Amino acid sequence: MRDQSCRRFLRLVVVTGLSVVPLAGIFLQDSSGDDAEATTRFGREAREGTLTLNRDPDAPLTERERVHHVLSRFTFGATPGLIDHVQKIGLEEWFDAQLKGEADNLLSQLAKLDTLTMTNQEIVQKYNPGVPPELSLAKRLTPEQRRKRSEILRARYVPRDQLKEAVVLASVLGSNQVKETTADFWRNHFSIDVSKGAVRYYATTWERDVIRGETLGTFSAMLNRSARHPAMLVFLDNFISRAPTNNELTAAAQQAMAQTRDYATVMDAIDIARMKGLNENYAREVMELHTLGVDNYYTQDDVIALAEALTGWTVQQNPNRPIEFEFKPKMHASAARQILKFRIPANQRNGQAEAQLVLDRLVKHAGTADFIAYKLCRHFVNDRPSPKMVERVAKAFRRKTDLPTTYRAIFEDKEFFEPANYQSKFKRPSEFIVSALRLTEAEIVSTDGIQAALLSLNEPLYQCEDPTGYYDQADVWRDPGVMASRWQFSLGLGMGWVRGVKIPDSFWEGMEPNNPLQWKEFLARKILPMGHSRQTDEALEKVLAKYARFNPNPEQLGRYIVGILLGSPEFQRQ
Amino acid sequence: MKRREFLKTTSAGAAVASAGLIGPQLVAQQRSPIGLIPNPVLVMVYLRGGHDQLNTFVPHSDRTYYKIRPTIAIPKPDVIQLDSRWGLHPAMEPLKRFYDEGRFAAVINSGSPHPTRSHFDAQDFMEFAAPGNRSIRDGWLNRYLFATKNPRGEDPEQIRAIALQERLPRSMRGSYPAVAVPPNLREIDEVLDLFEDFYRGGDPDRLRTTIDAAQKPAGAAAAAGISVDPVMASGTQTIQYLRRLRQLLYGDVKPTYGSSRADSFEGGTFQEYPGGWFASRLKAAARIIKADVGLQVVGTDINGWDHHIGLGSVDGTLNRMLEFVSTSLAAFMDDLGPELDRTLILVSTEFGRVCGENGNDGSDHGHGGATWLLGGRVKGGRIYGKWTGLEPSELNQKRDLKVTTDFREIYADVLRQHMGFDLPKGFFPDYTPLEKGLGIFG
Repeated sequence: MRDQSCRRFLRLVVVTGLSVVPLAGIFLQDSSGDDAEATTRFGREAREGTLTLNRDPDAPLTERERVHHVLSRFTFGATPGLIDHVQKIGLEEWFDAQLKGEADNLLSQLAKLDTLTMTNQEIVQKYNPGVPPELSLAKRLTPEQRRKRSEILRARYVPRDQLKEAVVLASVLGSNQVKETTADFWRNHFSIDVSKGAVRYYATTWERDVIRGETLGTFSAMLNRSARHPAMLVFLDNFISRAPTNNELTAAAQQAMAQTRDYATVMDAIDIARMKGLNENYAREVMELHTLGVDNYYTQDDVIALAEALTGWTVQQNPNRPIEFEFKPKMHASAARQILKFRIPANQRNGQAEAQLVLDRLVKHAGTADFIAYKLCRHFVNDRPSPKMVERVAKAFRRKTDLPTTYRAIFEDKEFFEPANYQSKFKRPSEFIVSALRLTEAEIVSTDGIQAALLSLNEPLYQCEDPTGYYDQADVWRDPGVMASRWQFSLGLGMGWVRGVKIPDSFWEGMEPNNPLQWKEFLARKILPMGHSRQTDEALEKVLAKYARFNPNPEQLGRYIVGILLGSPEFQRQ
Repeated sequence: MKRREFLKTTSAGAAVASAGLIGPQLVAQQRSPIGLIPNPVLVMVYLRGGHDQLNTFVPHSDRTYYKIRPTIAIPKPDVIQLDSRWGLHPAMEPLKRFYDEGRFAAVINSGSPHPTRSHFDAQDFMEFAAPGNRSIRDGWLNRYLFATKNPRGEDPEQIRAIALQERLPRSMRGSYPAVAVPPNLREIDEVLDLFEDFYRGGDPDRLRTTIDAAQKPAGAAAAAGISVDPVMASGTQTIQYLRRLRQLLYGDVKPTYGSSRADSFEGGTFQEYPGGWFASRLKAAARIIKADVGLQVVGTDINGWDHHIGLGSVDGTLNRMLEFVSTSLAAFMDDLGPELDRTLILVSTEFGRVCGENGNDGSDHGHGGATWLLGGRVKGGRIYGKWTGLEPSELNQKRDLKVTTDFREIYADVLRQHMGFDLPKGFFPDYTPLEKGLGIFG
């Protein structure tokens, strides 16, 4: 009933008298024309104009704006309280403490998620025990057996769902927000998709050991851990890659056919042989996506040579033993190779060392520093970072690939606080949702509704199909469908329609009874602590005027204002 | 008379184009061997997971088929016979009459030459139409849209490309801004009304300046001292675009809450559709096609064809899904009526499944598969493609259907002969489709 009245109210608030001016040209736009499609060494650049700001665009940042700027990029949303706190203790001190990993409390909300502390083996044993033979053919089962079977099958999604829940909770509630925002960057940089095969069982330890484990560590460690993690080895197929041999399939088939006329047996033999091919997937992506950037410094010959060197890097997947990286010499083709203009000698005694030399080389490669610095600056500073700044950040990265040092170089760079960078980034859908939850101090009982919103905004967690990760530039996310979904989420969060999420009573404390204009000021300060534009203010006034005329349930008005503020142009920026 | 028809019936097309009045693609259409299809539409349906050819287009006279699929083969009496060799799965019954009318064809043993059995790679390679090539990041339909866009900016009254789902399929992703339409479009007008004031980009005069600036290269706009606000512009676009779509789909009828699932379409003929989301999407597509707003490409995916388990014979998962798809498609084609002449439905999958069944009532990832074509000027009532039988020696790696028709041949014909697109050299990286085409259209 309550929902009904809210919705009826919504329908009443129809803004009148404003038709949309036809948007010739930018409707279905390729607005800026071909010449604006400058390409960098790292791909096509965002075609984004400068965002207009609710301030003199050239004025240097005030002290409070500097704090807000840092908190806009290195937290998932600067609440008024946090701005005050950081201003009080000092920006440097706050940033340093976060880089040192302080305030990284294990959230009590995560305690109920039992998979988070498990090993891969424990997760598989508990959640993927397999369907017993007597339950395998669904059509011949009793209702009781059916129920049991679907229970077993459903359990396979528990680790994935717990992981996704944990990531959202940590992003919203975690008090080390530098860790959370940088982990978000790396999660997307080394992107894996839990929809692919067994990745869903291994993603939990991936998040824990590779992403969270190293985001305040070194890139060297993160790359090396990722290269040996079952999730990555499965996601990018290296676990089945082995040296190719001539006529292997034919030989296997002929051999099997000589022994039996049984079709299935022959097929099985071929199946086994089929798995023995070389797979270039990981070898390519580790250079293209993880280190050097597409077509930088490496060639197709390097990809093949590295794929050969990486043969035998596989996963022990028998659930009766620890599920972990395993080097299988039998799958490995040992040879001396030329990779990235570097001689990699054969190592007969330790074949694993061959590809390891390449990984070491990639960590130290100038191209890797350039690429990582570019992506970090694009993420934390501007969709089009200045090459000079990228160069300085790359220099800081190169020394030891120490990540806190690199983040600090961004924070300390003279360009970081330039007015052109302030509020210049359009929030990605996940950044928008998490910041809305933070600014409304939302209580989260379950993240189901949040995950559904992430899906409808096209950025479901750990489910980017492409190994490239989600786009980090604004233009990709400004799709009309996505904008409308943002508004629906905004209003839904304000009104309390998002499943499992509630704005707590304490959030509304301070609203003076029967004084809607004070509510507007009060709530605007909470959601948009740095102020809002005159246009937004006028539009808000209009909504309030409507409210006065139709006089709906007054207790809903505050919720409604919050919904509108979250959907305002100001809130889409960071 | 519509402009395009005018161009077709006069020989002035080239002169008009050279005078800069229309884009080059319209002239190219005149070279199409089967003549111009006015305002062609392509509906791309992608079956994700690897749809099984053998139980859909059943080689009912082949004894090996029954031998290698002892549990899941379609029993001969249940097969809808098309000819002495081919038959349809009984769940395909709603499409039989279109086959008989010559409006439904399939290309068997089609697919990608790339040997991968990964869904992930195979879909990528097919949707980018670039097997083995990882540097292409624009989908093949997006490349088409981009190549044929109006160089002076698209007509704001036109809606060229939409995906009737939350995310664009990869074939539509890329430089051209195709639009993914939120599924709850019907209930969206409240938020559009509500946020209009917040996103109107200032007064009309200022908005005009903003638009002018947005059309200029970023550098030029900056030099002219105009700052473009893309957040505002995007909000305004959203409101205009979705209002228009909503209007097209639902007229002025406002949803009544509590009965929002009930149908309240008004006007026009009312086509009965089966239940389910796929039918709803097609119903929406039919509305937009009929509205004649320049729609060219519609995309929608159907997930869940990866039937390792329980693919089944006449009673399994495949049966259920084929019924779901074929009843929806049949209603869609009926609804389109005369518009079906300019609407082609292309149904693709990343690969077919292994010929023999596995131990779980299903079949594993294979190679060659079936591509379906319905509507447009398809020369239907035929099964295209080279059939090589089911003897192990004739199979890919002795277990899967060989690919005897590269999917790019089909896509090329769709673009050239249905869409009237003068396929530029290199449209498919490292691949040149046959000059003559496959002869599927006529």
